[in-house]
Amino acid sequence: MIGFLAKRLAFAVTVVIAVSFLIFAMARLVPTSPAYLVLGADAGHAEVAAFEAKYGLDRPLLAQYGTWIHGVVTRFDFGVSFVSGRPISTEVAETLPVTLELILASMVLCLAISIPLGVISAFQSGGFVDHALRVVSVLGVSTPGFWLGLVLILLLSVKAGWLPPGDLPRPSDGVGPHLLALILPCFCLAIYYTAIISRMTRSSVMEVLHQDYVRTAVAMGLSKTKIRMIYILRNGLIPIISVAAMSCGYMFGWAIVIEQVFNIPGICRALLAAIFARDYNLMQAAVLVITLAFVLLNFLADIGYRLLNPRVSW
Amino acid sequence: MLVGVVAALALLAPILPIRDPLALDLGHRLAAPGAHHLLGTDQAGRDVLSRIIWGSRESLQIALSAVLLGCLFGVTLGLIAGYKNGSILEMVITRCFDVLFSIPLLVLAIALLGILGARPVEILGFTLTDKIKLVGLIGLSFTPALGRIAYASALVEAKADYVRAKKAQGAGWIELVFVEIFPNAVPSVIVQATLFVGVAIIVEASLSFVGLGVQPPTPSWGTMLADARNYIFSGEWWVAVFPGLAICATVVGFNLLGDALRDLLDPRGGAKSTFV
Repeated sequence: MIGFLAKRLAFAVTVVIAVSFLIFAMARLVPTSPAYLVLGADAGHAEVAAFEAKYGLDRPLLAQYGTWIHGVVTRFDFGVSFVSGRPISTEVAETLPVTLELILASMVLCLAISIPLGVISAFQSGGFVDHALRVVSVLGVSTPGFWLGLVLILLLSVKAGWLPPGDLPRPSDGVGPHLLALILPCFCLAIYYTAIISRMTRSSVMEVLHQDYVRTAVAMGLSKTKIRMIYILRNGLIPIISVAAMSCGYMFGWAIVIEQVFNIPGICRALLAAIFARDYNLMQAAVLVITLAFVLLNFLADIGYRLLNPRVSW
Repeated sequence: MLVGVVAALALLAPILPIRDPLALDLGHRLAAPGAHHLLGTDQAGRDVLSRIIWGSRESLQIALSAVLLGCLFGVTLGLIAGYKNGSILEMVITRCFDVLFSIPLLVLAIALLGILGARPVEILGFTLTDKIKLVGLIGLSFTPALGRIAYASALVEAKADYVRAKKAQGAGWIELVFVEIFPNAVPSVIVQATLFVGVAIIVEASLSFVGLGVQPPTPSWGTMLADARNYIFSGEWWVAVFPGLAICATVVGFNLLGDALRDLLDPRGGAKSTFV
């Protein structure tokens, strides 16, 4: 088990380093120096050289990367944004919790809908819920979340005036408005994975339903409820845990679009803004943080799956 | 069915009796759907219906090429890895798939598109247009999943008697992999690839929506929605609703096609679909 953990951890660290280096290197291969962003396009050669020397941009790529990642790991220091002049760690500390909250809330919503739906349609295979699930899940994976967002803003915010069309008030300004503003973005972010996870729950529970030990339990005269709740669900829902964790990771990608639609000040919107402002320091920091979260979620999914499922060896 | 209709419309766009998708008509800006413009016009007076039909060409072209590219890389690598079971090559390829699986590819693709810039760039003498970049990055992100499917079937087939018989007759590994094993991996790859076309359409629309995909004025479903975003508050709902419906219908089509193909080619995959 220790061996597995060590190997898995080493893999995760390697992946994070590789991805962050890739982005770091790509951003530095861009022909125009960031000096021109700060000093203006008509800056002289001497000024540019002085600027590059000040921020170490004239050093070899690997040395620059080493200094940067060392600062990140030891001091949570991502450097300074060349566009806003602010330290990037402040930016990350402000925006990351917003995105994490959005994604976790979406996942809770997703599981709250998809697990009951999947379980019921497995237990009553061929029934009304089962048929409804098939239709809903095809629609769910086929609807772009950002478009659904636009349509829901149109219907529920502009026409009906029930929910705010965007912006996320801070929780300190009132929990009510904050939660109200989260409903639409969470729904749009959750819909795709709700469709996927409810289908998976269904097939996973169906599989367990036909196992020998369930037949034995029935033959022994155990009550239907007890068999379903204890014997079937406990085994049927194990695979869902790792799927849910991985889906959380993928949600970071979709959050880029959803945060844009609903104007939510999260790290994904900061990443997009950094791309358009050519703020490469902020961009590489955002990619590093998101990759870290993604890899961590995968890691936890792997561990959780093995802890809950003793049949899988370490 | 749905896929057929969309494909036909996309192919026939140049000869259909529809308006020019780029023709500006500032006198009829944001006209509501009616007899003159079936689905209304957008902020520059361009016909929404004709832009949706022309946009389908962009979306389908990009999505299909991306999936084909993913198949090309994924299947080739997967088959080789599966056949060369136990070799270093297998380890390298499967490790690469593992790595690609464990990074947020969409985020990475967006960052790379951002660095490369949305406009065409020249690298090593090749001009990368916005479309080629999209196809490359979306295709790359499908590679590991398609590769693993091909790998799984190659692992099984490589041990089958017919492959060993061919090998005994002196066939080289390239022939074995691509002539003997490949046809048996096709069914499961096709099912997954069809489903991925739907995903690719949504990814392309999302990227174009945030400004990193197809560049205006080329009509694409994503850029149409990006424009429409400004008009949902003022009541011009048609510019936002119809392009999205087109995406939904097309993606539903590919999903149903994928399900139907699974029932046909890969029957162990599940119950018969009642949709098609």
